[in-house]
Amino acid sequence: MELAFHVRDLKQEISEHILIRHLRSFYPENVPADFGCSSEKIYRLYIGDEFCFHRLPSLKEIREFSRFSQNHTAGLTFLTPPMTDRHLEKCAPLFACLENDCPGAEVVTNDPGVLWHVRKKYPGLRLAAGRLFNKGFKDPRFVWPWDDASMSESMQNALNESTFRHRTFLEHLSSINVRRIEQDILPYGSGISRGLSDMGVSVYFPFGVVTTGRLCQAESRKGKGREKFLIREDCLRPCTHQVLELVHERFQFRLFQNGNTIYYLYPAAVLNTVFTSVEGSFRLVYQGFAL
Amino acid sequence: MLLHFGADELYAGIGLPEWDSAYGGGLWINRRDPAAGNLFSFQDVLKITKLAHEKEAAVYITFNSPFYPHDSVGPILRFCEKLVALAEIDGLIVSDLNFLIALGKEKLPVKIHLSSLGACTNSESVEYYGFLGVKRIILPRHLNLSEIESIVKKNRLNMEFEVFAVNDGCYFEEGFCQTSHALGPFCMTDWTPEFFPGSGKKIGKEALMKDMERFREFLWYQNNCGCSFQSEGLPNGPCSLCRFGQFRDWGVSAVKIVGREASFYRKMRSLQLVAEVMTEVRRNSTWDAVEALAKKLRNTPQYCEKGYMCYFRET
Repeated sequence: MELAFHVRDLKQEISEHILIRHLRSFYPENVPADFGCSSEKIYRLYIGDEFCFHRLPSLKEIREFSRFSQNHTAGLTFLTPPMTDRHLEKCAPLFACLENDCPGAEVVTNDPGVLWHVRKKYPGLRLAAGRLFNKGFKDPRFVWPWDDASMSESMQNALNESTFRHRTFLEHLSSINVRRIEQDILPYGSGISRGLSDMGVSVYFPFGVVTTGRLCQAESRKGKGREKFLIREDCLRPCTHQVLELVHERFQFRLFQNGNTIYYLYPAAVLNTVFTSVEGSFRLVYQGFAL
Repeated sequence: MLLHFGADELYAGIGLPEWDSAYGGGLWINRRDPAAGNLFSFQDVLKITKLAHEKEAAVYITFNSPFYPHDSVGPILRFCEKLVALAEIDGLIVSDLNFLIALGKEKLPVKIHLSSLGACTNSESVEYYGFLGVKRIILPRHLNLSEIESIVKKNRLNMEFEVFAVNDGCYFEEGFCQTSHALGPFCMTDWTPEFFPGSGKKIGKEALMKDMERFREFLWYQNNCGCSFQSEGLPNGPCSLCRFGQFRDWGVSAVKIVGREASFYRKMRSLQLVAEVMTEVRRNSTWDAVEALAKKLRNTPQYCEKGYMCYFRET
């Protein structure tokens, strides 16, 4: 099993030991004691962002991450969000730098256009399909209104289904050079796509994604009237020091809002599934450092 | 009625008995409430297509669920074959990539439209979806005007584009939202935000409550201004009417009236509103003249001034 850490900058202290301590802030009463990764070695760094263009690193930071990756023989994975034409232009130096300075670097795409673009222009980068490709049922308000026995087999299966569970789609991804899939554990199921035999599989923890968009409540705190709730070309990233928990009696699990995205925290039992059901070749991505 | 008032195209959802028996009300076959937003039978599609084609209008059927469970793809495909062969529909509106790929393999003689849930936000995505057989892309709500201009101008020779005209905003990007409208719009849930200790600079309760007030005010506009109507009976809500002149000149093919589960009255008045602006656009009027007419028809300067009713805003 490969362990990866999603980080914002190189000042963050990262190790499995710190991960366990960090995880305790989310699971105060039920902290898993062992993650099955005995080494303190950093296997892989995840940088960038899956949901917001404004949270991408600068070219200088990409260079620093590349150097760190080379010096520590740690793999480097660049997370990318959905983008516009202008964003793709702005990202060109980042992709070029990664391709040149960090052979074997991965790019996780969450937008078919970004995937298509990187595939065409940067063949030296390894492609992964991100979590936004993998649609599934994640509504935190779901309660089957009747007893569980009355839920049809099809409905039970549907709660475990997602885009990556379709072999046809995996074959399609493979045909366009996607070498890895990135996924959450669905909150009402335990299903994980095992990918294809020649495809890497990543599982994120301890958060899954419920929803995201280009409007950002944290950013909308400043400004007046019509300046709020705008799609902006610039942002001071107030989200980097602000995580909110969203509380409502209908929510079946804990929800957190960071910037433009709402996440669910895996219930302890689901988190346990992460460590018991993932196979040796899987990669675990700890995302808690990046919120 | 919609044809009479000038609709050039109709779109609709329809249920499937196999779907209902498998999922009950737990999952919807498309993004809208099947009871209020879908046609009830294949016979309905036959009738509507016949009427529409007599008026030279096109009919599109939507299967825009964000994802379809594996076992449902086959039955939906077979039903699509029937819709094409017997009802002679003009197109299918799709968002699930698995379903899109399966449809591409079937090579049905029908146009494939990418639903706004496909969240196409750049020209490279246009090329990708074209590769999968898509002929028209319905652009998502979360774009600003210059981004729409960029996508449409670069790709209009190879792809048709449709943009939202009126009704039903969405706070999150619908294509990335993995909640279900079957449980009500998720963003309208009245949650309480609490600062998570240790995540940085603390935000006090009062400030968080103020944020929520503003957020709910914005949602009120997105939710068709509380589903209200203005004094002449036209529906309030998100729109892009002022920008129809730009859409015409950039090469947008169609504008979409959202809300197929809305009341008969709301649909009719929405269409009348859009049709009147379209008439002005077809006269080749200037952008300013189109905007002036749209604002005059809206007749809600206080809402327009706020800016929250505009789908596509620019900083």
